[in-house]
Amino acid sequence: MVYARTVGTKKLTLIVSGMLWRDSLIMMDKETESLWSHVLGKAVKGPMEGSTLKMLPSTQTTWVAWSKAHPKTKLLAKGEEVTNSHYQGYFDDPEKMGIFRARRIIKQMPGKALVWGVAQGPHAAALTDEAVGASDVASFSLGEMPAIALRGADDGVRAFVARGDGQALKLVYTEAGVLKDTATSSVWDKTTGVALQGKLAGTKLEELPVTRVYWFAWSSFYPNTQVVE
Amino acid sequence: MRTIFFSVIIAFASLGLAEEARKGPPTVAVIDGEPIYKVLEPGAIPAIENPTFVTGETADKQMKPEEPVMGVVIKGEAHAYSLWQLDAHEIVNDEIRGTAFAATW
Repeated sequence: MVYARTVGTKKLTLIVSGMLWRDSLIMMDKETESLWSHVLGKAVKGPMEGSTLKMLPSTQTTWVAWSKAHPKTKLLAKGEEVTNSHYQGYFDDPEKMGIFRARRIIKQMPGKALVWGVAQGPHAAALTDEAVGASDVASFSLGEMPAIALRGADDGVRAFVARGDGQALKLVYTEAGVLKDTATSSVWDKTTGVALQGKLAGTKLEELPVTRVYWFAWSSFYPNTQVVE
Repeated sequence: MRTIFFSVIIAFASLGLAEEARKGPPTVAVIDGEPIYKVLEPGAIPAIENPTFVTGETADKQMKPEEPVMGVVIKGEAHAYSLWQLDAHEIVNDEIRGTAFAATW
């Protein structure tokens, strides 16, 4: 998850507080020592209590797919040799869910299933890989807002508000593999959400930040989440 | 998003805090009916505050092809972070062309 770290005119430096809430990270800003929920992006205690950090779009994929799609990418330099995850045992064990055991899991799917989570105001959706994978595009809605998830050229999944030119848009792949909307037949880029050709050329769909997350964690923070399977 | 510090357990063990681990860590506050537990000192897991970057072949050499990354594109500039590396830091304080942001894991 990526957050803007400027709130009003204050630029914050975020550190790891060493505290956990709902089995997930609590961040602390060095400037005011307020405590921030990682998942909610909200200050839950301290001088900035009630403030929120704006979530910015990001995605998760493999290095080979990312670097191919973004050849000029900068990579965070590794100071030490890192060749595996410290947490592989945790990732691989379907029974391990948080260190204090998540208590509010909705038993709709296995707790360790990885989903793509999208939240907007009171609405939340969890998309399974199958939902996105079947056609590399999945339509859903967040309350009244039509939305779409797309697998990009870098293999990461992104979500967008499916609305342009004042109307709801349904995007589908043609048999030739071209992404078009059914209303205007404009051609869309699957990574940026920009219309490349057609009536809507130049229009950019509003991007909704997506989080790659375990189902147990997502359903614990968003118990009312819908599931797009 | 990862939702646990395994390092927490390791820290308890290495500090000989087995007894404390059994009792559970201290609660510092209760938010929405659920406790915030204190398990480590602030900064014990070091966030990155002044990130440095590599590109091209240098970057390729540091990475395995299937290594998972978190990626962002802001104002046309792409940054990637190895999730294996973020395991040890959890937060990177970064900035692209005037937009200050934190990549968090």
